[in-house]
Amino acid sequence: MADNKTQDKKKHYISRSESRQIAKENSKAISFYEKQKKRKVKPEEYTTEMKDDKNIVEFEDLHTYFFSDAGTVKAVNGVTFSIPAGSTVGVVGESGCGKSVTSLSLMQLVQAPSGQIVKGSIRFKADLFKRDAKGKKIPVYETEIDENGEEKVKLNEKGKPIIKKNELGGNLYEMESRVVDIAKMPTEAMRSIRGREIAMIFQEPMTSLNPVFTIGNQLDEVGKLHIEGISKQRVKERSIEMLKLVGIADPEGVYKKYPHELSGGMRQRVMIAIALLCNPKLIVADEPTTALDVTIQAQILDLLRDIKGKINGSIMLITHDLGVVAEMADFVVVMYAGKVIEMGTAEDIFDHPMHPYTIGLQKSKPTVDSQVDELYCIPGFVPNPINMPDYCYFRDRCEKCLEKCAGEYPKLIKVSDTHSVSCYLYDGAEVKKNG
Amino acid sequence: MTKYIIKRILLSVVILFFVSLILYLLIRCMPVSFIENKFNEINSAGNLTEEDFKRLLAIYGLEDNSFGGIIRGYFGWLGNFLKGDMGVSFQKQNPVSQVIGETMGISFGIAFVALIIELIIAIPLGIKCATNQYGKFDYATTVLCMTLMAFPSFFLGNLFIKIFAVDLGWFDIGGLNSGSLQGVSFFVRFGDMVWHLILPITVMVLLDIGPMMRYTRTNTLEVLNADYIRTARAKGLSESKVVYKHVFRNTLIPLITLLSSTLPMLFGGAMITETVFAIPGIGQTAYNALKVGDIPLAMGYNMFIAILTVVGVLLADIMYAVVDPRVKLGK
Amino acid sequence: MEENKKENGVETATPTEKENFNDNLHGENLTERAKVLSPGMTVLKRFFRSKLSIIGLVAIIILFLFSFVGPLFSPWSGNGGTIKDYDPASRPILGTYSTIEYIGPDGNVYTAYDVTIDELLDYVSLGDISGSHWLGTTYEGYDVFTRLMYGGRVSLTIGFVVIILETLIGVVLGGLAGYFGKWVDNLIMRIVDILSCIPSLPIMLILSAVFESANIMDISRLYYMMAILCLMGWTGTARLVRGQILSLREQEFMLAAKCSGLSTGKKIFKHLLPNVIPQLIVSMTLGLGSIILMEATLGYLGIGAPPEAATWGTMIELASNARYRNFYPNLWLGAGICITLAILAFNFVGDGLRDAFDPKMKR
Repeated sequence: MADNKTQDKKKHYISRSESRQIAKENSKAISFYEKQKKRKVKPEEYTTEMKDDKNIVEFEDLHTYFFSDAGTVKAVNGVTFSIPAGSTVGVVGESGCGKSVTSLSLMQLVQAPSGQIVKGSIRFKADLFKRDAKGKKIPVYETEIDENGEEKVKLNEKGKPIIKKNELGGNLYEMESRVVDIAKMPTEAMRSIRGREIAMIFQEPMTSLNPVFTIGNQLDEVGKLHIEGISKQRVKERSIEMLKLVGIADPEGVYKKYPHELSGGMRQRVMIAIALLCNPKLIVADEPTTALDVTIQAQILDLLRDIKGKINGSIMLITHDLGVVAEMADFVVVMYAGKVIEMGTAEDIFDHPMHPYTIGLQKSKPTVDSQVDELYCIPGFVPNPINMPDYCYFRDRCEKCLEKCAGEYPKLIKVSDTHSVSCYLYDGAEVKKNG
Repeated sequence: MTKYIIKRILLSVVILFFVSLILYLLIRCMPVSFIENKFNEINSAGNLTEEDFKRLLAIYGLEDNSFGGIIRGYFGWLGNFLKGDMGVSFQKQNPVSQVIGETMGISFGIAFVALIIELIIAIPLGIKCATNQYGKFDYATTVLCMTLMAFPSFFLGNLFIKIFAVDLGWFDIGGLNSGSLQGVSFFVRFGDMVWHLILPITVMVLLDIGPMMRYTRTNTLEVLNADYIRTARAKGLSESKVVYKHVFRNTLIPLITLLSSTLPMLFGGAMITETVFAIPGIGQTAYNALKVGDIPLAMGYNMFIAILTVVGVLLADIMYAVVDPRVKLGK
Repeated sequence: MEENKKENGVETATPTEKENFNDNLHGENLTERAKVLSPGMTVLKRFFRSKLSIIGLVAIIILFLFSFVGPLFSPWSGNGGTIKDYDPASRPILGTYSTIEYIGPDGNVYTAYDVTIDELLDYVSLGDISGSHWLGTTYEGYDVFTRLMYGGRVSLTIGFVVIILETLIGVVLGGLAGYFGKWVDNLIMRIVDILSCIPSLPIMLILSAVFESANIMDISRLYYMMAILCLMGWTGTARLVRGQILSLREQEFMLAAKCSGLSTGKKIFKHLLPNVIPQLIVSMTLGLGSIILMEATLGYLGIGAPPEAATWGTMIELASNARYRNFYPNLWLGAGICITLAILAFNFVGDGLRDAFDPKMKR
């Protein structure tokens, strides 16, 4: 009996030869992908086309793996969804389902070297600087009409042409709109997108600000970096303006303070201010309210919604809180164990949930208007993401399991124009796209 | 802040009191006749008189061996110590405070130059290792540093003398200047001194660079995993800006603390390295004094080091509050 | 290519799953099928993954074999002391002498030596490396290579004994300070403060004078010195243990232990100490190197073991003599290399252990 037990235990431990094998493969894979990120490539190589021009971001078959000691963790395992311009997309799921890793992949911030984007693409419609043959940015000069009635470049006292200012007070350069594939982009090129085009707000406001620099310093940094030619005075004005925008009562005071002198809610506002500084097209908010208490949560969410209207951008909101999604999102993506299992408009997901997991999630949410004795609870646990089998990952916990579920992982089925689900229950309910 | 510092200074004084008590009791373990023998031995050619020895006995209160006599002797010595009177060195024939003051400068100069070179090499190296963790560069540097850390100072020093001064004849060693230099210009003398000091400084740098590099590396690694570094990257900052602004400023905090604790080494001299290279700094002087039983100088030196250590710890605390805005000294 | 291979590897790792799938549709949980590392394995694996720790371990084993087994195979005895251990053939012939006794003007009997030098004093023959003396012989005629082995015995033994004693004192006092807090903590930590302000090397030099005045000049001086080193060296361990216990004491599992009504002894020995042991092992391994260094330093400064006793410290002392340093590196180089190697090996192993125990280390 006891012998049996130790045998049983051993089965779940990695043997030495297995672990050696894993270590060998890991180091090979890691060095391959690290080289990939450091290589110098022409912009043409990562330029692509959007599938749907209305979208600002399209994830397609994204795979992000972590090469760990215990084996390859497929944190994101074939995720496909898109973020339409000007909308809020909520990504929901339990902790560990890969939603944060999806967002970090979009920023190329997955914890390297163990975490790597392995396959798939993330298409992003970026406004990039137009560059001349030498790779330099092309400035737009201030012009005037001279006495001959011809347009001429204005010169300053030293005889140098004056560069036009943009609305943020920086130099105006010629821009071009280009669709880039972030998954294939080298880190070097990615940097001009981070913070300028896509900004990110993190889960932990308490630790996300550098403790040894003042708030002002950390705000100004972004302005100085991305708004070229901006004056010091203008940067500070812009920073304070942003602090005001996120609802900080004493922006000048906070500007001079250190992060530890602020509360969690205030720090998250500062994080949002940093994110907004360059008018990004997309704000990625990775559980922005999880670490905050409930009253502050509501304020921060209101603020995010407000701001979205003001900057005319999109928000990718990652959360495990269905309430937050219901309140904020236009579209909802439900993830489970690294895969998208259902997605659709907020209405689709909340009023007509289809996947048993989504239904379970809805049932486990407390409601005010109906009397329930005990909250529903999905049985079982999220599976360990190493060595995933090729069948529906939810199968072991599913109450509506079919014979078919023994087969390969179900494909995403489009049940309406906006609503898709990945479950054999709806096999055949697929709507064919007409036209 | 002021209150905290005052409290810490008072605590330091208490600690020093006990340290001095322990040192005094150690001296009391030696019989007076032994000390007298030592005095005569060292002084055989010198011009210290019996008077000086009597004065020493009086300072230390060595005549009275009863319990009360020991207590009285200690406080008598302490009183004299506070007045700066630590007796006359048997060997140097000068008051102890004067000997310490004269030799400290040489030691400080050498240790300071060595420290600066160490910092210039160790900090960038440590950061580079941390950012390339587990890379080839990291591995090579780590192995090199650990090997250097394992060398005993006297072994490395003698090895260098044997190889570079004796066999290859590249450097002069022994003291600060060649004996034959008389009446030459300052620059020649200075050049000669540099020539003499290259080996000892190199040895000091090599011996101490390892811990400093490893410390920088460990702390940098810790900071590199922090959330705020991810934020800095998310802003679009270049990797070098991330490392040399955001990471480095945070790594600096423990580094400054480490630097403050090198204070005793800076002023107290590297006893063994100085002895190996025969540099007339405080380390070698103290070593010679201790070796032959020059008790006044030995006591003075030990107290000097103890004071430096206490001040170093205090300085580290204060510096910590200066560099880290989160730390408020209080309570 | 790369990732195809990966997928295949994963697939083949679980071939049995699909076969018995049908009969336990709900039986096997996805959580259970994942393989993880056992905690002990993780530490071992992390330790052995680092090449440096393996090198360190091998070096330590070699040094031990060299010191404890090696002398059995040596025809010489290097463990100084008695004349019969000498190899007289290797000793340079200085000359012959006769003695004359006479009564001096003060009435005492004096002995005068009349020395006739037969051969020129040939220092080269003193340290000569030969087939029977691999590293030559010392001035007294000891075989250096054998002496190196005996020296290792003393140095390594001292290292282990001192570190164990130091750690014991440190654990007990640090544990008391951390666990009971209040005045106990205050008292012990102030003692730690005082002791860590006393410079170890100068105090050793003063002590050597004290021992000289008490006429303790043989090998026992080294043991006394090391005992005093123990009394001064436990402060680091005490600080470590206290800090650990202070932080552990506040954690939930200690509250749980309290709630389950465990006795104080059980709480300390079953719940607190095991949490400190990894750090202790690391600090002990790293400390070993520094104690070997300390012994060597005492030897080099001539205040440890007496010169005729064989330790690595007394052997490297020869380097402080310019003649030996410049012309007979065979006398001291071996000891220096042994000391360096021992320190390096213990540092490598200690470092490897630290990385292996560190739960935050992931790679």
